[in-house]
Amino acid sequence: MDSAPFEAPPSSLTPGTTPAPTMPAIAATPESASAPIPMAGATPIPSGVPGATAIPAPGVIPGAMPGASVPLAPLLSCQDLTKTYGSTRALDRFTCTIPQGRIVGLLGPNGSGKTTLLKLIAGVAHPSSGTLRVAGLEVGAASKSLVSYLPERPYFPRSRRVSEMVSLFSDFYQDFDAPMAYEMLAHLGVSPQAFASSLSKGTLEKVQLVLVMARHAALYLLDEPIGGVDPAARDFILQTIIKTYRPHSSILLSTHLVQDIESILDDFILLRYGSMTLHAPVGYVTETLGTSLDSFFRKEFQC
Amino acid sequence: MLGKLIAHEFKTLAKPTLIILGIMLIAGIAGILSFSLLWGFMDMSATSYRSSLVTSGTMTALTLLSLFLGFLVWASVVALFIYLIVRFYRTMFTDEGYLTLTLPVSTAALVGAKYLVACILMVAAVVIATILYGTMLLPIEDLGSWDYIVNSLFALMGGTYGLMTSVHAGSIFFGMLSMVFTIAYQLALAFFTLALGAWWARRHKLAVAVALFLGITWALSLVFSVISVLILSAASAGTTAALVSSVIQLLVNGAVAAGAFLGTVFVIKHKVDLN
Repeated sequence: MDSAPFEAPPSSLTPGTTPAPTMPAIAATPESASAPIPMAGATPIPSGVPGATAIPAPGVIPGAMPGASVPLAPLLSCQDLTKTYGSTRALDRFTCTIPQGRIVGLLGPNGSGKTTLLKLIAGVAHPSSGTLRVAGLEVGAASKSLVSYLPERPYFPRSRRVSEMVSLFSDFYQDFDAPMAYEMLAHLGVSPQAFASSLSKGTLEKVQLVLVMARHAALYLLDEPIGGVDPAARDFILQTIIKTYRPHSSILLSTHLVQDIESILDDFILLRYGSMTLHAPVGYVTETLGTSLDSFFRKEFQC
Repeated sequence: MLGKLIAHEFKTLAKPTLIILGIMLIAGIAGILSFSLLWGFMDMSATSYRSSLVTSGTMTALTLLSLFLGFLVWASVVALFIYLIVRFYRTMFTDEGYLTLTLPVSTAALVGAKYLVACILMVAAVVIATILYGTMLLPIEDLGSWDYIVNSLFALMGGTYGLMTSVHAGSIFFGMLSMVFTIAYQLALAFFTLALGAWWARRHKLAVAVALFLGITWALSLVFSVISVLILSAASAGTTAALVSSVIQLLVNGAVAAGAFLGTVFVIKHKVDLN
């Protein structure tokens, strides 16, 4: 890490300051597309960058409602997205574009705005200002049919059976693959007849992940999917994400357990105090800076 | 999607609703038996002094039991109302909201399905409670026949008009219409105040919603009472004036229900953020 060419002092990442000239790809404004390292999503990732996958050819966005003509806009587009809670600015002029076919890590310490951003995209919170589009659509019923969201807290009604939840997903999500869900549940050893109240917190989280990943969605939003679970469960969760990942979909995954997920990431977004400080391919850190993403993260956010 | 939402809502609410209606039914049937026994003992005590000494304790117990069972029938209706609004709150504004509000359906359809199903269940509960309660009162000789009692109860739901006119098909229909509008108004207002509580309050959202609900209901009742008194006094308290007063109440209830429903949809769609 010490020998890395990246020399921007930590203070350059604080909100409201101008990034040092040596800091590549800071702030996801369209102007920054000409920065030395291209913004993931702003332009195609150049070949040869480790961890990068090719952007798929234009086609139909998976998960789109039948009959709905969804233009192949960027899968996720945020422009000056701001969210305030009272006097607290949880997200501050967040601008970013994510194309199809990327697994993007949303990294930052607690309170950096990761969960807020995912809530806004999922439509369970409303932006104070700025624009947000999913596949060119404003957040609403149509965009929700494209997004598969795993919140950080369990939402499973305690009185429901697992099979009832599968049935609910089958009824409302046309892209839901019920046989696949049952297969994954069997692999987990969870009976479809089990009540949510009889499952442990960890198992419940796994069941929710199964439901979310059994959709053929265009965009997956996973909020701390490996937070608060044991290492074995982490392996299961990461394996599930990898196994069910479809090349035309994108995953936006928030975590502060960087070491566990950096191997599956294509790109990462660093958030601090609600502001985006860096959006780049993982290869930028591993190849250009010669360090792991986890080490980079720890150095940037050390207390 | 609305059809699926309604079906899903019925399926979810079926078990708890059946339990509450079951309790109401048991209380109602027990109440009918209790009232019959009570009137039987009363007849007995009226004919024999010795019997009256024996049955006085039993009659006191039966009176208390009958009153309690009658209360339980209507308490079941209130319990269902509370269950329905708490269920709405849970599914929309707590952790379960992460499931509900991410379904690919419009907010209007989401709220509409819950509202429609809640209205249907409440109307069913009130109708069953009215019939049970009416049957309970059947042994009271002064009240007359079963159909008269039940009809009177439905007619009384028509407010001032029901109180000032004799029971007839028109008053019964008007009473039932008023009942439906009152339920629609109460539920819509409850949903709206829950949404406002979820939007405005940082803590104790449910308590804020209850305070808002009680406050708005009280204010509306006060306004309507003033209007009603003015109409009745101006028209010398005739049946027509009573009808006009009741129609105004019905229209106000309908307007508040529509406004509260639209307000609920707007607040949830544009204002409420899940924690």
